[in-house]
Amino acid sequence: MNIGALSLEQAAISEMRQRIGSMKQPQINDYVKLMRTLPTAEDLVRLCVSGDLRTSSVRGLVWMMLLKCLPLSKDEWTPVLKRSRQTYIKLKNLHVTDPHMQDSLSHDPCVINPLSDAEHNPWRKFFEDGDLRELIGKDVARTFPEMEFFQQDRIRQMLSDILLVYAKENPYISYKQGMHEILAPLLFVLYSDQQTYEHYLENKALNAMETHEREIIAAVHDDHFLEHDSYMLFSEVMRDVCSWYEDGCSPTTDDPGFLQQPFMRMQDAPSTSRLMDELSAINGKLQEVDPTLHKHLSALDIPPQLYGIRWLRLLFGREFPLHDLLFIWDVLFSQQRPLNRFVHCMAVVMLVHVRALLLSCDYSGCLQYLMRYPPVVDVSAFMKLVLHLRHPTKYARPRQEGAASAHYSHITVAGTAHPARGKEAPIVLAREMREHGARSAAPARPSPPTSRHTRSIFGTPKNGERRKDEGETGMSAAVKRHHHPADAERVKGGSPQHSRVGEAEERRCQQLSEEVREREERMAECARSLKKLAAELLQPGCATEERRRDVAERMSQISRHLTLPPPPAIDSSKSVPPVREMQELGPNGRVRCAVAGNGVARCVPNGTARAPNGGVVFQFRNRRSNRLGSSSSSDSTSSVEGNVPSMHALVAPTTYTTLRPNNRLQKKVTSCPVLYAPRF
Amino acid sequence: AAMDPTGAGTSNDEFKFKVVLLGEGAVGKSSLMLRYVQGQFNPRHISTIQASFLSKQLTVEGSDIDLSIWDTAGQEKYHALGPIYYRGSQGALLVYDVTDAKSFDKVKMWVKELRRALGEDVILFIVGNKVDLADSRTVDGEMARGFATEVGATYEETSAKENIGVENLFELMCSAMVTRARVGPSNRGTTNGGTRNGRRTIRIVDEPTTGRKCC
Repeated sequence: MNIGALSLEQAAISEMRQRIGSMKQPQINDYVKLMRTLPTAEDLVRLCVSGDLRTSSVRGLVWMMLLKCLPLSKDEWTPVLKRSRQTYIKLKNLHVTDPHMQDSLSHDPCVINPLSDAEHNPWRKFFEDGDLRELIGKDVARTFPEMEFFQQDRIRQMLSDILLVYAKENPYISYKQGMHEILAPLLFVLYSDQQTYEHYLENKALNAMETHEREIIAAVHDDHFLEHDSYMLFSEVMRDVCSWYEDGCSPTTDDPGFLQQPFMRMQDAPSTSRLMDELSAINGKLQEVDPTLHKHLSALDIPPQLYGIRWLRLLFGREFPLHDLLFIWDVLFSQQRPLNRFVHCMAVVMLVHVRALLLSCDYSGCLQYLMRYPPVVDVSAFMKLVLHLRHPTKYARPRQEGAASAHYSHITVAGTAHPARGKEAPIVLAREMREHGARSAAPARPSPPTSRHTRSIFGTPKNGERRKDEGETGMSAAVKRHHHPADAERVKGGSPQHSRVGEAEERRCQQLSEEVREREERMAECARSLKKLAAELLQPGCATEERRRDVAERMSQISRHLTLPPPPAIDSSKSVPPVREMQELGPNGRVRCAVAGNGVARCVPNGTARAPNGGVVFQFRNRRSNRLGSSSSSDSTSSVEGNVPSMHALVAPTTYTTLRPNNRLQKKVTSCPVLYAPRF
Repeated sequence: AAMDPTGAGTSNDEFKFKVVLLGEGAVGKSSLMLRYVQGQFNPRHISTIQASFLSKQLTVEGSDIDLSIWDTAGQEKYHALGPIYYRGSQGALLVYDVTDAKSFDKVKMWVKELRRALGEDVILFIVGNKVDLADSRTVDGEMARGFATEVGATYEETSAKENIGVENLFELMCSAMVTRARVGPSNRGTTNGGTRNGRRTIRIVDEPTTGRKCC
């Protein structure tokens, strides 16, 4: 070992020592910082977002200030706390009277006994609340079963009492399953803060503070009032969350409307509650941010209504382990209320985070990932993305998002094997590949054949900076659109010429992002098909000649589907392209297509491609909506017309529709080879 | 399905079934599902919020079955949301706790609601869970069986904890659903036989299906 290396090592050690030294009393510094400076609301937000509350002893205090349980000025803390604690004592006396505990001699035994009917008999109320108590008790007994802390009778009693008081104080909502898991982390945070405080008190570590400061800190951390302070914090949090627990006017089966529309999907039903509104808003946001994923989930009929209720009601409590959840709540509580906009962004980022898994899965696979959300590796990067989505101009997009996603998808948050295990092997989509390509340190991996196409899409823009931006982006191109208005604004500040350039750039960008989206959808579709095929191949009895031919045929279809050329870019500002006559035979030699100058394709069938009634049915894929459109003709001589710009592949004839003599429709679906893909 | 590039056809021997677990809170719905799908039992289980979902692939009487099991939250009446989970189900397991008479009343309520919403096409099982707690039993098994027969349901008793009757319960349910799906092809167009992706599809067929479907 040479001397240089040695000194380097020494430097590292001394730096480490310094760091440890400064870490020794971070909590005390926290107290001092809070006491000696008057923090502004922005300071608190910064503190929460930075993640520093994770190791601090003032998390509960900061939450109380954020949620307006305590004012920012420390001098008012003691009286404010005194008042709120008094209030809770009163409420508890009012609602949680246990007649067993009452001094029976000091009261009239004719009124106060379990069998008396008298109006103010405490026994009467006790029995009335019995059901509610039982309901709460069932859940409190099942709160965080893996944490010893919540198994203590004392803590359980506190949880039950707080929930009962809240239920009685808010009869419209009462108690609903889930509230206990909003309350439990709050109580846990306050308890931890008190414990840390006691610890420092015992070690006389607070002596450096002035007397009046110590008094205030002592009043805040008085462990007699854990229950009281928890109630206060809980009711503040519930102010936002409670509307998601409301029943709304329920469209029960008594409602005739329900029976009239038995095929109506619930996401199409008129909104019945705030909760449903929020879930629809999440769906809308997803469509805006990640249209590919939105489309995939919609096609599977998996709306947020199916999986999102728990996310919202527990504020993501089941989707993240407790230590991460508390950080998430740091950020959440630091947001301006109402919290719903932030919660929407949170839910959308959760979906986008597992997009590769979701896009590669079928109905049950998707649901298993959504109902058992896989662990997030880097929560702070995750939250940065949420913040970026919420305030695109204020918070920068974190780097490397998506690179770490899908790790750990084989386990659940609880650490057990994930039920969808074995289904994974996420498709690497264009987006992820772009990321890998963008980071120079990315490990060399065999580049899938599709990456060539992906890159070529990005080869055109002239603006080098934009190109870089595309390369680094982890989320759908649509997110980038959030920037565009700002970009355009900025550009508009310059000369009119610049503004035109800006607009053109923006149009181009939107086009590109749409192309990327279409390509992604197609790739995801192909990947799913390949997976299905692979699963079938593994089944016994597929070695027959017939099966092999079938598989080979389907694989070549998938391949054709993958290699469709990118759809033509349409510039509406340009005039109608010159007349081009194109004649092309499909692989089966069945179809001739002619493209006229007005962009109308004429497809003339020949011979065999005919429906039983002599008519012809063609299907083509709509370029914009990616939907299958169809045109049919009733006799063998007609041609089928479709608008070419809206068509990027002509497939079929896939569907024959005939009217039988008994007037019933017969549909016959055969495979659908791609017959024609226009090139421009 | 037309643009499925694999062009895979459907075969008669594949079924997708959806089964929903309903019942009072803390009667062991989640435990039944976890015992069946994952072979586990956790005495300290958390309460289900909203619902949870697991799927299992199995073969019953030569048919491949993709079974989706929806486990619902017990406490909440969830009337606004209940239909989300039972809509389109071929089978429902109405679970009660044999030591809790009140939970059996809830089963009666669910029978009514499901019959009203899904008609006679849904296969109902009434399940008395926690039979390992024989000493504190308060609901008489014969009475429950009688009630089940009355409403056209099958009665089974289980213990998710001791793994009694769980496998059997789901197998019975599956074979009942298979039988129903095979016997009642005439209902297929209008009822919930043969679902795809949880959404009902209407198949228009010209002649009665014999052996192989035409599409």
